[in-house]
Parts: sequence; structure tokens; C-alpha cells
Amino acid sequence: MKYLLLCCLLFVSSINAQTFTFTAIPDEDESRLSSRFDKVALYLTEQLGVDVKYVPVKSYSAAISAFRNNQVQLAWFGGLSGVKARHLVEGSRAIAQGYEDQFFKTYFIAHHSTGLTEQAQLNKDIAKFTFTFGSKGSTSGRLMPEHFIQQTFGKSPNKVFKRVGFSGDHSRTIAQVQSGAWQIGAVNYKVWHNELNAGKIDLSKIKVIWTTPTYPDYQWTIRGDVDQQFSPDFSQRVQKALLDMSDPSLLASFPRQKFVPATNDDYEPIKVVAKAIKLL
Amino acid sequence: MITVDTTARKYRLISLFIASLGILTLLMADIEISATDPMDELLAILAGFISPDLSQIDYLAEALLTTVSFAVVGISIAATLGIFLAPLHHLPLVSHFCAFIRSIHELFWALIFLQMFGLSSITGVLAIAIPYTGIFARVYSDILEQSPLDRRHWINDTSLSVWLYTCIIPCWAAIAQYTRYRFECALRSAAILGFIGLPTLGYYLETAFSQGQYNQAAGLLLLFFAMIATLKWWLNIRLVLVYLIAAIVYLPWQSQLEFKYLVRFITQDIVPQPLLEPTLNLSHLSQWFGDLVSGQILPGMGASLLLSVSALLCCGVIALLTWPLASRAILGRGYILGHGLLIVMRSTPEIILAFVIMLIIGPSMLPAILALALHNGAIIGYLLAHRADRVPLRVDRPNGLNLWAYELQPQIYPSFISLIFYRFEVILRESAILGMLGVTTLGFYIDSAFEALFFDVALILILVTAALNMLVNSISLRLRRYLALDRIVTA
Repeated sequence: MKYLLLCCLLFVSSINAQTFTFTAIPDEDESRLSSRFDKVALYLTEQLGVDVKYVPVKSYSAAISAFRNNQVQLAWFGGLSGVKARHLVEGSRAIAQGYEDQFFKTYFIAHHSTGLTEQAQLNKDIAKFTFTFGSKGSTSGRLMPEHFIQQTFGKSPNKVFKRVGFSGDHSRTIAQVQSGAWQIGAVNYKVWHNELNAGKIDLSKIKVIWTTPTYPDYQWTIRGDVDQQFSPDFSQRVQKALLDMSDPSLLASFPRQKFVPATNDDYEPIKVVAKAIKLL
Repeated sequence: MITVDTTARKYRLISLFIASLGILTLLMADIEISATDPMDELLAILAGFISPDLSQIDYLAEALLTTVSFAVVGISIAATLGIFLAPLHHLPLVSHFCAFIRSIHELFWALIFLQMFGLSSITGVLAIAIPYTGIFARVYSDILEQSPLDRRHWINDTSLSVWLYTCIIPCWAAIAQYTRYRFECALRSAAILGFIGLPTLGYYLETAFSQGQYNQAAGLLLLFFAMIATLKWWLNIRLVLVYLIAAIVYLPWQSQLEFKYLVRFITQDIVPQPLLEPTLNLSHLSQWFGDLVSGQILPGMGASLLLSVSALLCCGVIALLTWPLASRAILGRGYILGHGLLIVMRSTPEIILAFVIMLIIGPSMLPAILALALHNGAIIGYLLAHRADRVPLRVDRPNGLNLWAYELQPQIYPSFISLIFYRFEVILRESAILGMLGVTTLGFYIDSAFEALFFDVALILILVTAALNMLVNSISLRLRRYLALDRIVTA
């Protein structure tokens, strides 16, 4: 009887307690998102003392919508999606970024038939070829490469190249440039190295021809109203839990070596570029 | 000289019309073929199909059940509304309304509801139910018009039971058969809704495919083919109610979304942004709209029409070539193979077909044209084979090629033309989702607008797409009347 009562109490408290929900779209390996991030949810539950749930989403825009509609209160955003989300949700803040995200970069890659070689500057000869971005809302696959193309040529990519496409995904960009379907592509440098290590890249067919200057990318963004919703210092505790995350099996889901503190101001350069390209 | 206006002459004219229009657009379209080096990737895809793998997919059973449930609930709502709208479909208001709701692709309906209801079952079900209601209303009304009974019986007495017994029951077989066919389409739609994040099979298929995990992608595709191929065994019309109740019980219905976000979407998000500025600035508004027209609407409409008309011609050719392969009358038992081929062709999402074709011939409008043509050609081929097998044949009929060329093909040609007209609408709608090839159709711009969360732009582009679809619809209606094709049951 005592146990039954306890069970009832637990049940009641579990439906009364508020659930803290987060989402994350990693920049590589989108498979098994739920089982991987459920572990992160478990870690946060232990650290924060509230029920934490992970919601899988498919695209940056879906992540932003969920964040904006308070379906998730915390999100692992790309640079551009984070700026957009914070633009739409007053009071929301970037609280942590991956160590690597302080100096992120994009590789321009080319099929061997182009004859292009790696150079310190963006080679103006690329204008002769076809070009693919990654996903339309990606920072490393779309926003920053578009910005640097605009800077080099003084006009937008679809006026520069013979043809411009959106592969939808970094892995697709690599596969499509490697198969020669597109001649040049812009790809997240971490995905490139990952696929190189996995043996999916044949360097006799495809190579890096330019590395962009660095820029800030992925970050954790939290809604401003969580302190009222949960407890007065809740966002601080979330930040601490993220910065303290040291278990390699958890960090591998993102994948980052660790998280470091971040602020909204760190992303000012992304905001400026997004406005110039009319994506904000 | 006297010319005799035979029906055959009309069909020749209309075929010539479609063919010349198609060739003209193919000449205008960007169909460059570039040399690629696709062997490695194609071998990887092939290897995936040789050893398909479903063990790495979490929540596979849930995805399967959600896919079927969305389809069952969506179709049930749509068929019920459709049957009540069908007798009113002759009213211009109703027929335009139906044309409007079916002219918006399921994925775009889903993207709209996603903003209001989040990633919930309501989003998935409505995204199927709404466009399918428009489709059912129209096709049911076509079927009812051919009701063998005099319609005055129910016009004088408007009671439900008179309507039911004089109109619906005599057409029941045709209605049930069409609804069954639509259920297959709804399964496909439900699966594809996974591409934007709803937890159906497409969710995993998209991930596996975009990550190049072809073993899993192949496993999922094969599972989906099997589901379609076995439909006639597990979809029993008497069990529909059981399926419906099971689906409603299975799906989670709670939506976490608050009412205020719904209001915000309707009163702010979809209102053109210049209108929301504190002081209305007309020059700003007209510039905003002008940029939209010249930068997206006009080029988008051009590309959509070029793509759709070229795809229509190729689709017709493919349908005419493939239907005999799936016809029992022509091939006997061999029809099973053709039948299987058509299932694979019509059940593979166009975006995957387009991707594979693009690997081989490079990016241009051509992979999109071929993907649309293969998919829709296979659907028409399947429907034609079905129809051909019901043509009564004389004992002294010819066999093989002669049977095909002189007996069946001429008899089903009117159905073919009728289907082609209807499919044009579908192709135009589906051309929307092939933007990844850099083919800047209206759908490409709609997708970009949703991705950038510019809902006002997305809504205007969707309305333009709908208007274009409705225009095409009314032209095809006139042509059908001219050919007296409205006497043939469409599908």
C-alpha cells in the first residue's frame, strides 16, 4: 500500500513537473539522433534536477520554429539559425559554443576535371564551373561561402557560376562533387575531415581548393523566459551543465571536444553577413 | 470536300498538340547533359540494395505505424468530405475551392500547419486530408455524373437516403476502387511528410539517403515497396473502420502549441512585412512586391511551366511504353514483373529518382523532367494496364503485339488522354519539390522562403502556384469537354 501511494505520488508529480525540452541538429551524421541525444537528455536531467526531453527535428527552420513557439527552450543551432532564432525570440541568449566553433571554416572543394589546385586566395577561375551549396539554411554550407563569393566577385553566386544548386546536406555535397555531377562545392570542414577519415573521399578525384577565413558557428541558445518558467537561476545552471559536459560519448554526438562560454555578441559577424545576403 | 468529325480526329489533334508543346518546351528548357564520373556512387547505391539493412533504425515500427495511420485518417476525412462535396461540384464556387486546396502540395500544407500545430499528428493528417478532399470531390463528382440513374430522382427529393440509394450505391464499385487507389497515394504522401520532420518512414529515408547510408535507405525503400505491393491483401474495405479506429487511438493527438502562436502566425507572420511597419509606406510596399514579382514569381512560373510541360510529354511516352508490361491480357503471367517494375517506379520518391539521374547526367532541368516523367508515367501505366485488362475481348482476338497495337491501345487511348490531363495538374504541383537541382521553380522559392522563415513570401508564392494550377485546371477542363472526355472516369 505504501508503495502504491508512492507510485501515485510519483505519477502525479511527474505530470505536474514541467519538462525542459531541447533540440539539436548536428552538422554531421544525422542518423540515430533520438538514441544519441536521449543520452544527453539524461545527463541534463541529472544535472538540472528537472525532467529533460530531446525532440528531433529535421531542418534548421523547424528547429527555429520549435524554439520560437516554446516547444523547445534550448537548442543547438548553427551560426545562422541561432542568429535568426535570437532575432525572433526576445531575451534569448547564446550561452555556449563548441570549442571548434570559435574558429569554424568552410572548404571549397573541386572535382579533379576542373584542374584547379589549392590556393591561398579564392581562384577567380571557379566562375567557369558549376557550383553547389549544402542546405539553404546552413552557415558553413551556404551563408559564409555565399558571403566570400560575393566579396571576391562583387556579385551574387547565381550571377557568378554557370549553375548553382543546393545539395541539401554536407555529405551530399561531397558525394556530388566527387561524382562530378557538380564541379565545385562548399562544405563544412569538419564533415570533410570526418568523411576523409571514414575513407569515403578519393583524393585523386576531389580536393580542397580554398579554405575560408574563420567565423563563429554552432552554439547553444536558450530562451530568455526559462528563469521564470523553471527557477530563477535556471539558465545559469544550464550553461554550467553544458560547460561541464566532459563525457566523450556525450560530446561525440555534436561532435565537439568541449563547450566554451559564448554570448550573443560573438555572433555579430554572422548577423551582419546574414543581413547583407538578405537571409535575415 | 467534306471532313467528318470523328472522335479519332480529335484525339489525333490533341496528341499532336501535347507533343508539339512538349517538344517546344524541351527545346527551350535547360537540358544540358554533362560528363560525370558516377560509378563509385552508383556502385555504393547498388551495394546498398544488395545488402539492405533495417537494424540501425530506431523506432522503425513506430514510423511504419505512423505512416499508415496518417494515410488512414487523412483518407477517411478526405473521402467523407469529398463524397458530400461531389454533388455540389458543378457549382463554380465549389469546384474552384476544390481546385485551390488540391493545387497546394502536401509538403507545403504540412509546412504551413507546422507553424501552427508544430510537429504533431494534426499537421500530418491535415496535410493529407485537405488536398485529398479537393481531389476526391472532383473525381467522385466525375463518377457520379455517370450514374446510370436519372438524377432528377434526387434533385426533387433531397433527403439523404434518396441521394444515398440513387447516387452513391450504384457507383459504389467505382468509388471504392478509386478510394483504394488514392490510399496508395496517401501512403506515399504520408511517407514523404517525413522529409520535413514528421515521424514517418520518410524521416529515416531522407536521413539515410542524405548521409549516403545506402544500406539503410535501400532497406527502407524495399520495405515501402513491399507495403505497396501487398496492399491488396491487407487493405480490406470491410476493415476500414477497424483501421480508422486503431489509427486514431495509435496517433498521439496532443499539440503543445499555444493559441497565441496560432494567432501570431495568422495576424503577423503571413502578412507582407511592409504592411506591418508602423507607418504604411506605399513605395516600400510596391518595391517589396515588385522585387518579389521580378525576382521570384515570374522566373519561378516560367521554370515551373517549362518543367511541367516537358515532363508531361515524357510521362506520356513512358506510360504508353510501360502499360503493356503490366497487362495480363498482353503478357499473361509475365505481367507480374511489369507490375513490380511499375511499383518501384511510382513508389520511389521523385527526389531520389532525380538525385540518381543527376549523378549520371549532371545537374540541369533534365533530371527533374525525367524523375517527374518516370514517377507519373508509371502511375498512368499502372492505371492503363488495369483498364486494359477489363476491356472485354472477343474469342477471335489477335495476340501479343497485334493485340496491343490494334485492339487494346486504341480502346484505352481516351482514358490515356484523360489521365494525361489530370496528371498535368499533379506534375505542376510536384515540380515544386525538385528545387535541390537548382531548378528554380516556384516550389524552389517557396522552399527557400520557408527555410528563411519568410512566411509572408511563402504564402504569396503558394497563392501564385495555386492560381497557376487553377488556370491549368480550367484549360484542361475545357479540352476535356471538347473531347467529351468527361464521360470517362478519371483517376
